[in-house]
Amino acid sequence: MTIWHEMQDKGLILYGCVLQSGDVQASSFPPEAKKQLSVAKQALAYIFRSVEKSAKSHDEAHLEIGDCLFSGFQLDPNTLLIFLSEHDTNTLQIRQFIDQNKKRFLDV
Amino acid sequence: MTDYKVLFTGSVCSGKTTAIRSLSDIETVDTDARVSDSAIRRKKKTTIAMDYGVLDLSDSARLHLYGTPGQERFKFMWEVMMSDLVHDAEGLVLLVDNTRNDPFKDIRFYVEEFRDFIVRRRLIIAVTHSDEKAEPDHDYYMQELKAMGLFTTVIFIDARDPTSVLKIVKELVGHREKDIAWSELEQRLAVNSTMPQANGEGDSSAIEVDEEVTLLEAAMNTRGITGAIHLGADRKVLSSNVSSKQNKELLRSMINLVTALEAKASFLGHIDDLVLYGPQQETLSVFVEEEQALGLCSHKDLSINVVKQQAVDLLQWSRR
Repeated sequence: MTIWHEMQDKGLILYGCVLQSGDVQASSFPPEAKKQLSVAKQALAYIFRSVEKSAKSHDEAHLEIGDCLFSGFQLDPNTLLIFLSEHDTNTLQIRQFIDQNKKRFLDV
Repeated sequence: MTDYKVLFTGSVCSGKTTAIRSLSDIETVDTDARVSDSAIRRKKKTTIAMDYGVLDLSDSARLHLYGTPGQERFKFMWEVMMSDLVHDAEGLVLLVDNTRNDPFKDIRFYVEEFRDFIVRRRLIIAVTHSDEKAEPDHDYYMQELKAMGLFTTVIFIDARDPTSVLKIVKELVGHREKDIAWSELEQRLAVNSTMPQANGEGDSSAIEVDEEVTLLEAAMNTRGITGAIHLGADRKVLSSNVSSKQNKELLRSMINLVTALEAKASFLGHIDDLVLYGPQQETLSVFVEEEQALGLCSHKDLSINVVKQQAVDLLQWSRR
């Protein structure tokens, strides 16, 4: 079972993606969600670049759009996780899952 | 004597306390305290525990009226009331403020919160403040509720007018209590009316924003919110009390990003909010509308749902 299926089964996400230095390393986003993923990638990367400039250590961002929630988690300076979830998903549980599975994401 | 109970719930300023006062034969018991969140722009006091009143329907029937606090952070009281005080209630009256941006969002929220309670009881949706905003109208409510799978009664009332609020009582117990002299009841309760008089007297419950309390002051009135920035349609800062320059810059970047996304990626739809967390940092959140935008700094442990509720309230009453 992939890490994406595991998260889906727990009701945490619909789709997920790992970006390294801006490039997609692994993704479960279907082709029909390509446009949304592209926008989320740019938006979340922009936010974390702004955070870097301000020398703050915010590492988690959530963009709520209607019934959808795009989340970004900066695992390290080069690795960004992007998820699409239902808008009422418990983001704390996503955070906990990531904390417990950080190495698996980095190895994906 | 047959004793009936009914529970009134709904958002802040939806008229729960007023409706119970309109119906009660006794001096109502209320637990008002000074408002300690963004609602301070609309009223100085709010219910923190419950409201209680009694209406004598006839020589053999009496109705006990209970009201929940509207604010979500007093939600523990909802549980206490449902499991104890009103576990044997006839029904739930959900008061819906028609001036809210999205009254159906409120309905969805309260129906979800009271789902188990409603399953075995009557639900009545009582729409208030329609004198200030007539739309959505009755037909629209029925249509939307049907789409939501809710087949219930919708009554438009004025919480200040006892005769109007009595429509709920008729709907709830009228079919079981045939001996109620409704016109006598109306006459008796007329003294409870707080409708504005022709000469301007009377307690108008129409929501008026207290302009002396600025949006920033109202934001800071919520425990856990540490700073706020308010921007206009041109995205220039109207007011700010965010002390950290870095946070202020980040909030502005976030607002600019949301504005740009809405313009360039309109297929996404309206962006409700953007929130930024850090393990040791204050949470930063932005809420962007066409005419204005609000950025909030809050303590990292403050629930984002509380922050969102406050932001929606602040923006709505700032727009009026």
